[in-house]
Amino acid sequence: MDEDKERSRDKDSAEEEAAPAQPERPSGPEGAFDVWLHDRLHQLYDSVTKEPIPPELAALIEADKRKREKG
Amino acid sequence: MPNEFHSQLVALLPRLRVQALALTRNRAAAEDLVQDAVANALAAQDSFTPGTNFAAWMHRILRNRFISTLRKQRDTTDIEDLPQGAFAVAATHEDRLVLKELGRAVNKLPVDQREALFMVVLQGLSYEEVAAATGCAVGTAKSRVFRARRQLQAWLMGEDRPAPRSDAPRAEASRDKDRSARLGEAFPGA
Repeated sequence: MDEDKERSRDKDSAEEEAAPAQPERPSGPEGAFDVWLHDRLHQLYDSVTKEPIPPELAALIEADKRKREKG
Repeated sequence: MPNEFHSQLVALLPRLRVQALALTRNRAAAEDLVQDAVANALAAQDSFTPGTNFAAWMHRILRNRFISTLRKQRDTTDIEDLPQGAFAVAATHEDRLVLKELGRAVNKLPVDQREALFMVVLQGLSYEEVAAATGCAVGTAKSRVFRARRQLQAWLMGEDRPAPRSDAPRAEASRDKDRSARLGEAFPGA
């Protein structure tokens, strides 16, 4: 990750100004791709957000909550 | 305040899971990362100032935890995988191929670009929120998302690959042709 970060940090400063102010407003061929990408990313990853909370994680949060309420 | 803190934390878990997957590219490692970040957040909850941006605070904890874990066990869990749920509901074999190709391309992005792209596209965060969560300037957050999109477009459309040499193996040219055909069907604007 560090290498990735350093590589892209160099580009960040140089390309900040080149990035469009409103990339969320697709138009033209790039905009069409962005809309397609948006839909496919949701198709690919939305299932991850809909998974139930793992029991051990729920228990960890609940235990802390009870401890705080008592204390 | 404790009740509010815990309910905010539970509500944020789906987004944290996506961010963890963006960072680790691995489902099991992402689950571990979320669990560790939640434990850190619970231990540090008194340092959170109510009324400030809880999501940004929590995203920073998860990110810092990822960085420290990575330093300790560099690349020991670098086994990429893709969410299988999407493939189960993909309508056709072609759809599944396109999704797999997209998933592999996403995993090839630099981690900070992938993280920013996921935050904006999948979590619906503003560039300001991405900047706050990842500790960068708003312009940098915009730039990362912009470059991620253009890089994916280049990879998926084969725009970054040198033209096949005349003596290049036919199989490679054939693979490129197949890929373009798949993407052409899936993405009519290309």
